[in-house]
Amino acid sequence: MITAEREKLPGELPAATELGALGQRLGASLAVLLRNRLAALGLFLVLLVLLAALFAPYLITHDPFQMNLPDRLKGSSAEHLLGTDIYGRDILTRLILGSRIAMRVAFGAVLLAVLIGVPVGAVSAYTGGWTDAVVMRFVDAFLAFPGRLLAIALVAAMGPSFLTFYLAIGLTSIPGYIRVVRATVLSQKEREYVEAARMTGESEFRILFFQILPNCIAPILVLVSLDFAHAILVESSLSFLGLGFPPPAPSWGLMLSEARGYMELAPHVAVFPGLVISLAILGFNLLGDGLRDIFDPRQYERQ
Amino acid sequence: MTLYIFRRFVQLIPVLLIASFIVFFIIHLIPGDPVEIMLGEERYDRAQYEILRQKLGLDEPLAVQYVHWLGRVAQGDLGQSLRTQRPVLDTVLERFPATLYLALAALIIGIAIALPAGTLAAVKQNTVYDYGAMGFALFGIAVPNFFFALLLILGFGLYLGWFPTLGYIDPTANFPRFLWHLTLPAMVLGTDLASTVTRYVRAEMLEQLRLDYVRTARAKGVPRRLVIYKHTLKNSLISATTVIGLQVGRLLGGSTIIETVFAWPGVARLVLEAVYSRDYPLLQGAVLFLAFTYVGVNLVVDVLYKWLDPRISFK
Repeated sequence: MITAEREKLPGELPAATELGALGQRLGASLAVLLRNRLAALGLFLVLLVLLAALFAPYLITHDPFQMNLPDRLKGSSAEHLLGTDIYGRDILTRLILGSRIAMRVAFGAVLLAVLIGVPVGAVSAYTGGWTDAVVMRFVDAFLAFPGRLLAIALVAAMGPSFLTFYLAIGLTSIPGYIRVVRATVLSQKEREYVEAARMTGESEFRILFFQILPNCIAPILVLVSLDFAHAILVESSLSFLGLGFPPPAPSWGLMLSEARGYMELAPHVAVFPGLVISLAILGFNLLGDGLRDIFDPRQYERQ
Repeated sequence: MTLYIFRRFVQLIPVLLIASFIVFFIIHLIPGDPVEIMLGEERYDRAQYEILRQKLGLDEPLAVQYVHWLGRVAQGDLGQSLRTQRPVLDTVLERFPATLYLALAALIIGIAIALPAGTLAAVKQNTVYDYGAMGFALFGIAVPNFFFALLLILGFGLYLGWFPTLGYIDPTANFPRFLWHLTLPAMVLGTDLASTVTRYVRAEMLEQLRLDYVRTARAKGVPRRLVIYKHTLKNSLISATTVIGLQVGRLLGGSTIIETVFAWPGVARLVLEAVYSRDYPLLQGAVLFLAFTYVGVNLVVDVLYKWLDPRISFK
């Protein structure tokens, strides 16, 4: 699959329009990404999870909630590829459906962090002075607070809901975006093209958000990928602790937690959800690392 | 140096204020009437309701409540547990040793793995050793602690039966048995720590090995082995201290999962017990304690870092 995608690339090259040039650059980035075997593996795993979440209703083969006690804790078979859980439900079906919970939580949390972190970081760096000093104090204070604890406290108080998860995970991710965007804007705002844009009478708002901010896309993408991994980890951890969505929600962490008491009898019931969580986290981490290698050539050379 | 420490303390004030505000605010995020929720589903009379409401200070305006609460916290009064009626601080302090022992054990295991693995990976870059160490690091990052814990319980606990999978023994009562119970949880947290630190030590060593002083030393005829152990490793350790320090903060503040899985009676598990029993004063107290510990450890690490490397100047 990977080699097939790489061979397709030359076909995309002849394109002269601006959009084509962008496509060409994306294609070139993709080529670099695929040449890095670990990053390619990451991309593959990420796509797998995303596609599972997107097409879950068409992929599942069983009722995810219908209990069938005579069939409980069965091993792998043609009927149940990954076996059945403690209530006789098809594990594969529940894992596929679980990707929806994980991805929805991750999307919401990351979106929240980006929507707040990026503008705050950009404006803070661009205006400088007092605003910047105050924002950075807040960032420091926030980073000094243990994030996992905040998540537990928030979920404990607000009860499990998607909104709670968005807040519990998203809030702790904000400082990362503020710092990354701030660093990039600081390095760009004295450049000549900014001066040139100012000469042509562009408003400060347009300069910041349309001229400077596109330069931050690369580091933001890296952070988004890593934060997806983080969100999956926190959501499954909280669900594992029983603080997430209540049963019978097919959350990966909850599935693992439910299987705990039956580990000696049927280890696969715990191992499959654990494996899926690990692979999803691995995928987003590898993709994030791979993207960083593309965007930060200095580090790429070192390896 | 004294001035630096003083300045760091002053910088701590906003951090602690924000942390305390978050913790204070938890109770107000509870949907509905927190007093009713704390009293539980069972029937309660009006007088009981009013007593609790007043005890929690919920009849006052929010700002007044915060100032009062902060004043009490500053005097070491974290309130009373709703369930046991004992002072929260006592309960938290009682639980702290277990968390501390686990963190220390994990730290020792983590460093014992990370330093050799990271060094070896850098010195023998792009060899089997390097890939092995990096594979281990990826494993640590990808596999969540709770899953790794279950795998260890399954393997060493249930199948092999070498280690107990639950519980805690007081070290003063029976030290060998304490260590025996400590092994599995410490292994999980230690591996987690090692995976982060290994990557860092490797990157730092690679950076150092490319510097001019290494070439100079080699040119003078110093054996490579000596250069690595006497020069580059030392220099790498300085920056590794920061990463390790941050991990210590994390260990002391966030091993809720491991303490729960292994029924280890530490402060992090106390947080969860408070959540389950809706004992909000206890929850607030325990979270505040852990947050302050985390901040305190990070301060110590920063100071240590500066002491180790006087070239670093902070503005």
